[in-house]
Amino acid sequence: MIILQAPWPKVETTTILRSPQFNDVQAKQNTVDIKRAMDGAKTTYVKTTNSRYKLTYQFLVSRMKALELRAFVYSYYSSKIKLINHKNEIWIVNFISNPFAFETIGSAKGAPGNEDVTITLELEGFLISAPSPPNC
Amino acid sequence: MADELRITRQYVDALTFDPGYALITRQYVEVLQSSSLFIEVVTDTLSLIQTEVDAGPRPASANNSVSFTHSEIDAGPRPASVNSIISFIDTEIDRGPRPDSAHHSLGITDSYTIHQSTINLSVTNTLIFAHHGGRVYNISANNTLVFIPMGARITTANNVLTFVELISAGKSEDIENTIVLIQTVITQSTLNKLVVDSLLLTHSGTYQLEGSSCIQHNYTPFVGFSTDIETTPPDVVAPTLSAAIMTLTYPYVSPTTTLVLRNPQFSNKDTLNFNRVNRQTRGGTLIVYANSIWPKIQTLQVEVRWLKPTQLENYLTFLGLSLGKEIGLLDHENRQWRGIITKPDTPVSNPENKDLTISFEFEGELV
Repeated sequence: MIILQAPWPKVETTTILRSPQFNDVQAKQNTVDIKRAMDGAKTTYVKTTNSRYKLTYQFLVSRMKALELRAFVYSYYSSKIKLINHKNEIWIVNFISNPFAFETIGSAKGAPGNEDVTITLELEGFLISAPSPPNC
Repeated sequence: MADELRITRQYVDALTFDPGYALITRQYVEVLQSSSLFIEVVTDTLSLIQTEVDAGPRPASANNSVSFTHSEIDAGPRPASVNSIISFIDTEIDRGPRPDSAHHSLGITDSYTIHQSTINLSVTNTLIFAHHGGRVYNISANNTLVFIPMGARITTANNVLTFVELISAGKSEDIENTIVLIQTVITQSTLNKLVVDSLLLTHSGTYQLEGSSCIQHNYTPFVGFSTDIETTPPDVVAPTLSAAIMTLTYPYVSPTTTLVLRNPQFSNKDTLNFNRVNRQTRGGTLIVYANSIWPKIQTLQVEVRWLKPTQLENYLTFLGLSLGKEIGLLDHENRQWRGIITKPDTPVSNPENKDLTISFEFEGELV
């Protein structure tokens, strides 16, 4: 389960989504630029992002939940968002994906809206809390 | 007062014995004289003249302190006169041993010329008149004070007069106190200073309901409350969706052309595109900013298959009519849009026999 709360820190709206599909991505945003001189000497330029991560989640949701997420994005596309992900980690992130494409992939009888929608969200921010790892 | 005599010593000669006579031969007498009248006039005259050449910015303090103390031990019946006269500008007319009127004019003028605006100046003039008379008849006692505060800027002008008349003996015809206060303030400027204490306190709150799997599928945004007006929360009411057939109308207002199509295939996209500024500071912090008035582009990408040839003809005619103009679009969920077709040059395909397919991109907004 994914919980989105915005605008952080004065959160007003909470949206709950299903857990994202597999192949979710958590990537650091540090970059290293390597320059090589004519004699082979290497010089590296490091750009750190202050422990910032980029998260990529793909959701498969019902049509009605997609409309809810669409309204959420429409309201808080430039706000900071508190995200509690399926690993119970708490993040403070921004939406960085643009555009937000809600693609209807097929029918889903019985689901609200009778359709399934996929949406890929790219978020970037900080991890502020994580559960303790298991002892085993 | 008559003088008195006191015999201090006598010498007596006895002339006879019992009974006889005595003869006073020598006698010492002291004369006790009564006290005399002393008429003394004690006059103290003090003139203070201060002339100050100020080479500095401002004298810190200029004070004149005058204290008269008369201490008289009088063994006589009464002192004739004890006077203390302080004269700055003093005119006294005395017409006789018992004057009918005594007029004293005492003027104190403080005049400052200040060329700096930020100065706190306190000007205080204090006068105390005290008339004490033992036996006074037909005397008119007048005290006249004139306060003229003049300054470029006077924040508070206070004139305080206290009359205390004490007559311990004698007669008094009238006791009159006349106070004339004339305050004139010439305003040269009016300073309107606005003092604002801004303490912005905001609060917000949200909630969530757990225990039901429906909240992961239904339209259930949990919108709390917030005093922050920078963002508008989502609508808590779910949009109403129902079955419909996609229909294009032109023009949007008072349409004259209506084109009924089939519903789009799956993989249609509802896209939101925002204008935002993403910047990374030197310290690595991500700054995302967007002004609320910047455009929010909503785009529909649809593909419609299995059209009839007449529908295709009508579609091409419709594109020619509405090229670059605002049209209406009723989508397959029975929602009305208004906007324009942004890619009219998308080719019409015929992948299979009699399978006419069109696709277009529509940019608009929900009505």
